[in-house]
Amino acid sequence: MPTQSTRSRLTALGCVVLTGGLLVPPTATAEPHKTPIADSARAIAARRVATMQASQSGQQAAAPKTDLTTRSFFRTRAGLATLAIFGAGVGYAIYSASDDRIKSSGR
Amino acid sequence: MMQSIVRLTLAGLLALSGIAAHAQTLSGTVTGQVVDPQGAVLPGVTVVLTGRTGSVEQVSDDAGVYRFIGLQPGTYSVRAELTGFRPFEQSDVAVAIGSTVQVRVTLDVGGIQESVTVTGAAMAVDTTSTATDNVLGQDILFAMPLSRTNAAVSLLNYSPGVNGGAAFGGSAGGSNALLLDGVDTRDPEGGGAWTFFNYNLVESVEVGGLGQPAEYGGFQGAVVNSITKSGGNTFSSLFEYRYTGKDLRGDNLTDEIKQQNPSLLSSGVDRLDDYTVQLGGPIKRDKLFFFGSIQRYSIKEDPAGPRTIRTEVSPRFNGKFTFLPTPSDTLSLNLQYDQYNQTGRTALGGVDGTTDRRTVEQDSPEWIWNGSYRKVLGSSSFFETKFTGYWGYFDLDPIDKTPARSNDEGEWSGGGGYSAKYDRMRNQLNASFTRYVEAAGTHSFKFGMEIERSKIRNRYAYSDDVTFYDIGSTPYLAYSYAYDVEGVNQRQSAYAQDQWSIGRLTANVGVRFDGITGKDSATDTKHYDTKQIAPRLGLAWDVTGKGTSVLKGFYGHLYEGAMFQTWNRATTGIGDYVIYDVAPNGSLVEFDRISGASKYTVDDDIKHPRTDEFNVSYEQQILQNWRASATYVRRTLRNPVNSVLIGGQWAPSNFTNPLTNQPMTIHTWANRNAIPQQFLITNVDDVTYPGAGAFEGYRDYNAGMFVVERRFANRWQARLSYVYSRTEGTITNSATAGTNTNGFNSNAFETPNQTLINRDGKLPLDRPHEFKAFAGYQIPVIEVSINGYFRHLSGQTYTPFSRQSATRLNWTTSNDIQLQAQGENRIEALNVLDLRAEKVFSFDVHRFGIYADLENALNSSAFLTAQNRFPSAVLGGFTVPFGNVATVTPSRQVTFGLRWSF
Repeated sequence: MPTQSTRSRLTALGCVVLTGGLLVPPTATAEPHKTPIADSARAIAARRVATMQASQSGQQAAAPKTDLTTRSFFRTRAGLATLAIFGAGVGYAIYSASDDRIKSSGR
Repeated sequence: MMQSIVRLTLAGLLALSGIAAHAQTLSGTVTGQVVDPQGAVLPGVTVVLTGRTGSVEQVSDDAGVYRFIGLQPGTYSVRAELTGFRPFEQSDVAVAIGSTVQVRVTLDVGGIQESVTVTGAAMAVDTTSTATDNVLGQDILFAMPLSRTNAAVSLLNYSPGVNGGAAFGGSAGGSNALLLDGVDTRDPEGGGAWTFFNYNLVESVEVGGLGQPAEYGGFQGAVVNSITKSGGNTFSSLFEYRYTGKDLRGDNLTDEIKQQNPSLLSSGVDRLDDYTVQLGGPIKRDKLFFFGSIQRYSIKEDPAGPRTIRTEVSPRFNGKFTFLPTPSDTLSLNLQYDQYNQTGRTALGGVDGTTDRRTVEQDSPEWIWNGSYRKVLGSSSFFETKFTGYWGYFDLDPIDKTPARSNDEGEWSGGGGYSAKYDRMRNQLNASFTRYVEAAGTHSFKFGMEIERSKIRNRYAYSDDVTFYDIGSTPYLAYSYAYDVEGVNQRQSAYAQDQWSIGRLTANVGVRFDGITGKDSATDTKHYDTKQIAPRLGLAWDVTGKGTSVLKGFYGHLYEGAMFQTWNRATTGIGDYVIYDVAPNGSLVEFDRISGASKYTVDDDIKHPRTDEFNVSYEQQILQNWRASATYVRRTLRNPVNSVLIGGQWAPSNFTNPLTNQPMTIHTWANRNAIPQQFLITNVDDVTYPGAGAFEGYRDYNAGMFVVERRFANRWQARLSYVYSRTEGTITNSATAGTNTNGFNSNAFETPNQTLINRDGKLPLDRPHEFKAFAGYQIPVIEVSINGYFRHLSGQTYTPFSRQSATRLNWTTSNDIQLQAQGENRIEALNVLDLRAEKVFSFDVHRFGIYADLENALNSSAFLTAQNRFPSAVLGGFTVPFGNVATVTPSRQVTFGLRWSF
């Protein structure tokens, strides 16, 4: 059976892939670089995606009043409610993991 | 010979890797060309792609081409700008797993303030891929009344051509690759679903299987790729609670059904409490993100049979961190811990013999891990590596630990009768590399490798090491039996493929190598050793050149994954089967002992099971939001594995078919006293039984599939599919109807009585007609959404059998003799409608929903299975004639849910 030799070759092959993947030089075509235009495009596109994501979650496409991009959200009432519900959910699940656990004999 | 093939293949792979390769299919690509209104290419245009975790930008090259690769599946926006031209922006660019999305950019002359915005890309048709995939995105997952018990398995069945886990004619339950973020979550013993995860965790699901490229292996049915949610630059959250109760359950057992099978009682969910809390967002903007999901799933059910209650409580914890040290590096760490705590599980005696006192309890915790790193090298290459796996066990303990007792009336008493421990661990290392090259057209080379190690250990013992058999209430015999078997699956795989496009034609050429070994880890003995090379060849032709239609064809070999069941009967660890007389004073006197030493060896030339696939399809975008496709598929099972008796001779024996009263021939073991009982685990596609005849083991699947899809726009969406198929052969795709000849680990092939007699025909999961329809509409003004899922399925086939005793056949066990050709009878068609109505309240970024799900809204009572033992069988203490109902569709159940998301 060729098992041992095949294994050796596969191991060698794996090393080639791993190192080759890391050593391959970036291609010359279309490398990212920053421009002032790109900055403005980036900002506009980011706003667009934020609106898009909000729209996907069912809200109206109108400009949202709540800023979900900073942690200041968690100082609002909705943010505090979020933390409270999330914390309660985590807490009860941890309690359940202990209280509802069916512990097998012999483990 | 094999060595040479392996050497040649590896040499080829190495040569390819020097040029380039491609990687994991958990990412997608957005590419396109920038032109002016006259169609002239525009180099030097800044193109910015923005998604959940930030933006990346490129400048179009000399051919006006840009390409973003290694993208996490999700929704993106593309914006292009060049001085002197009006900026172009396209939103809602949906990137699915492994997809290449073309976004062609046309820049008009004008000022920078007047941008051209395209809202919503056209329904995408991938004109380069040969695969036929069905993606369930958030638009469907969030809105439809989908079953939520086990995400991977249940979601699989929503795809055309897949029912009851049997995908495109394949075996139910064990032939599908079930991937969670690339982690193969299957049980390495037999390929069934092992892990249970939160339905709300899934961002999108891609159900593939047809025309899959070489990077996909280890399946003969379908590939289910579930991608979990991640954190992004905006905080997002979901809180959901679902409830149903006994009063919200219908009763669909008609008088006719109760008359046919009095053992059927109204059963279903008594109470469900299921909540999920999720929170994700940035830790450091554009750099580090988190996502946490916690669920507690609790259900109480009234199961079929004498049991009155089954409970399950499953807390599930998921955490994911995503780190982007640079825009081109992505590190991800994903962990899941969950428990599956179950009471009320059936014991010895099965569904009909298990009372509440005789049930067993289940303890099954598990960890799933997944660490990955992706490096994007410019617009042409990316590299990805991943270490994934899981650890877990499930233990079964009876609540009454006294021995089980059965009697000559088939009644069960005493305790649950057994305890069991099943341990699993699976680790997998994947590495892959992708490179796009322009040479004689364009190439997308992919190369990768996978290493898998899986451990299995199964332990089982009777309570107090004994089970009793009574005559009436008088102890008569006792049996003792136990096992402790363990094994290791080892798999090394490598693949190389190229997607080579010249003009409108794309060739998808690939090859995959799998080396699979199986070892008894208790004795360090290798029992199973196979190496296989699977070609995958596909062509895709952009018919019009506009990217709106594609004609494609595929031929390939799909090898099964590494499975312990393929060879586990050759292992040690099976205890002796001991039979005792029970003396009047209760003491046990041994009178027979059957050695547990394995009688099985594995054929040195065994070939790993595979399915050969040929398909051809046409896909067409229609208007902006519609897409239609037609596909022909042929799949053929090869190299089925099972066991045969070595040196057996068979003698014909007259038998009167009790169904027709016509004579027929059955077979007895003629040389039982002359040879030892030794069996060979081998390929059973061609087996000769001396004195009885020859058997051809095969399974063919032929299907025509038609799909029309309308993506969500103007408040509604729909997907309709119709599949006409035939699944025929001698090797079944189900274990539920009569003898299990699933070509894997049953012992059905050891005797000609279960292979040569009436075995060829329509298989149990042959469903000629399948129609599935998803549709959803959001009613304006009142903001109520109505979503429905309807399916019409031809009923399963069933075949009457007569059970003949071991003595009658001079065989080691009884045999089920089929009395008609396989699949001669068919159950009535199944028509089931599920509905969801949701009232939505939107406030700023917040979305609140109150919904009601109606599963089986029409309260259909269609049969699922029929009793197929002739003339009758005892079910739950009642005699049920052949052909009467055995199980019916679950009755209508209403579930209410509340959710808040942003």
